[in-house]
Amino acid sequence: MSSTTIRNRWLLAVLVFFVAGGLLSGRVLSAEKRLVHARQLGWARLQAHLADLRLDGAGHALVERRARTDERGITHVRYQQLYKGLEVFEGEAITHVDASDAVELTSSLFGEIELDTEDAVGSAAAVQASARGAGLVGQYWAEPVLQVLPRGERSDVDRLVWHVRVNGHTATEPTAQWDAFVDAKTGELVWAFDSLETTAAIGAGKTMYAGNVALDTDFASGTYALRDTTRGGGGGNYTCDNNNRIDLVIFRRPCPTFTRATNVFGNNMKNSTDRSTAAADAHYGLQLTWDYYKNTHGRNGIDGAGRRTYSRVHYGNQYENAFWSDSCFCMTYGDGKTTFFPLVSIDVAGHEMSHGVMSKEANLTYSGESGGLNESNSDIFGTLVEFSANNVQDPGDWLIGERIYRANWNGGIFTPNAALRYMDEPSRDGISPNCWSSSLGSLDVHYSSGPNNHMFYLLANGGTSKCNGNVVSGIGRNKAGAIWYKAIADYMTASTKYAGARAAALNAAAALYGLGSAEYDAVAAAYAAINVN
Amino acid sequence: MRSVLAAAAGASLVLVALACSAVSPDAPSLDRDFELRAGATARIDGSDLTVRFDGVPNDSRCPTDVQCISAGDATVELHVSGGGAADASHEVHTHDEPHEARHGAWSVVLVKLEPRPVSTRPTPRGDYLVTLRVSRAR
Repeated sequence: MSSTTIRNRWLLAVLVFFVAGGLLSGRVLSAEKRLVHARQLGWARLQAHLADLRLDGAGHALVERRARTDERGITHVRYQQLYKGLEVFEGEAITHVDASDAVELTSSLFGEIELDTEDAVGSAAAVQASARGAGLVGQYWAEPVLQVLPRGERSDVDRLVWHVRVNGHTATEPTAQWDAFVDAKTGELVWAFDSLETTAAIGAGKTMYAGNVALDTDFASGTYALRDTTRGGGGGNYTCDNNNRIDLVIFRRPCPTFTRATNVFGNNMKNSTDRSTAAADAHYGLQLTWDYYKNTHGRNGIDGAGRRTYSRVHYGNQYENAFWSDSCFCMTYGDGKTTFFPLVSIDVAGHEMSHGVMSKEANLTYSGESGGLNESNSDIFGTLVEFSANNVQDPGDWLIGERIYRANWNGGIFTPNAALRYMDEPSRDGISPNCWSSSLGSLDVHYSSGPNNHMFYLLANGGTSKCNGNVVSGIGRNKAGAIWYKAIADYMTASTKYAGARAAALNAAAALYGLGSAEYDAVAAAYAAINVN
Repeated sequence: MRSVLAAAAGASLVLVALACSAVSPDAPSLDRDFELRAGATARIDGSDLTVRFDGVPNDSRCPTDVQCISAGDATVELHVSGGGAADASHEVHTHDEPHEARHGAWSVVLVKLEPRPVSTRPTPRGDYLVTLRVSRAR
């Protein structure tokens, strides 16, 4: 589209202002006459403003976009700024005239623009640059319009630009729309923003471990996606299909977001051929964990600032593990093989996401005693998320990963014979100790977590120590969780060991409930019950 | 110049031959740890027992660059010959049972598997190095 065509389009849109003549205020006017009168008053006020901004010279113009009188009798007339017939991006003014003829002005007009409006870069090149910048692959559609991008927040100087709206899909997003601004003199992509307007929806998740659950999904262009626009900034948290690959970085393999024509994900089967079943569980676990931290600890997401995260399911080939990665700021889940079904249960999701939280708080080094405490932190919050979910298909317990064990399922009947870890008695796994000892740090972090897991169980639930027989009176999961959260957030450092964890938890208990309170004493008793004094 | 190229080619052949060698040049002793690269075979000193490290068909050990739900496990495939028993392939594990392959009167124990994986790329087969120990079975 040439600049002349655009200019003509806008010129055709210019409204001719009819001067009604005479003072009309003070008389009862018809709605039509009232609108004409208000336009006149507003326009007169606007002219003075244009002179102030030096927008009254040649090349500058305003066109009316819309006029309406609201329920209070105030007439609002909206104007678009033009320069040499081209729209000035975000250059707008609104006049407001009330029934008593008082005039107000809202202005975001840009003054002192001086530009040559002959483009040197054709629209085709601008479209290509926009699509490339948006990461679109395959077929796409574009609408280029020549505009002025004024200096300010969007650009350091006034620029003649091709404003290109491109629609298509990226390697990871089935539906994408970007507004890109390409310098029409140089071809440089100056600025772009994601302009896809989607609708948050509630989908049906037919999970493998948690039954049928509500999933926050997204609807755009006739497709439902496992994207949660209600949680996580920058478009929301999402769940994607890793397509059984591992080589994620070297070859830049995409992980496309799960989409369906209907708002149903999964089929409740653990050996499912429907790849969205594991995704439904992971998406649900992410929702639950996000809400647990928000509702219980007032924390906005993993980093506390609402940064979005995502879950990758179907990682690797029959991969029997799940992990958190600081690099991608995401959770990753394998499908399992002989020991596990897909590792996507609620407590596993809570565990992994809590590694992310830990990385933003004490950031306990993932080795030795501090590594064991890091693992224990994830087990603690994975468990608290499971309890808070209050899901009848996967109720809260003090086991970690019990739902993912193939051996625990017989004909659809679940029996918790095996688990990754047992917080009520860590030694049940055959490796984790119940007691702290000076050699604890030599164990893998998934086993040196044992004593602290047991401490937390005793603190929250109460009971007899499997370490030394001490009897501890529990203070409940909520108080124990609040103490532990404050301990990692405010008192522990990366190198904290078990003795330091005890001190941190005591400091947290004192801050929350008072020095010498029952809660403070319970923390001391719980650590004494794993031989940390 | 030609002689230099010929020497370089000869050296390369020697290196390739060494790299592709089917049998470990040093025969490991009974009851002593020894290392094998994937694809290599070791003859146990003082016996007709040979152990070949065929590969790692599944490696779910926790990668070094991430934080996991579990320590994870890797499966190591061994092929054992001689020792008065029929040739047999065995699977041993780094974490799960069994850690040991029984072959007639002999025991082959998996001591260590290196390197640990990273999350962003598969470990090439040739990078795997297994540490084993062969003993008389008790």
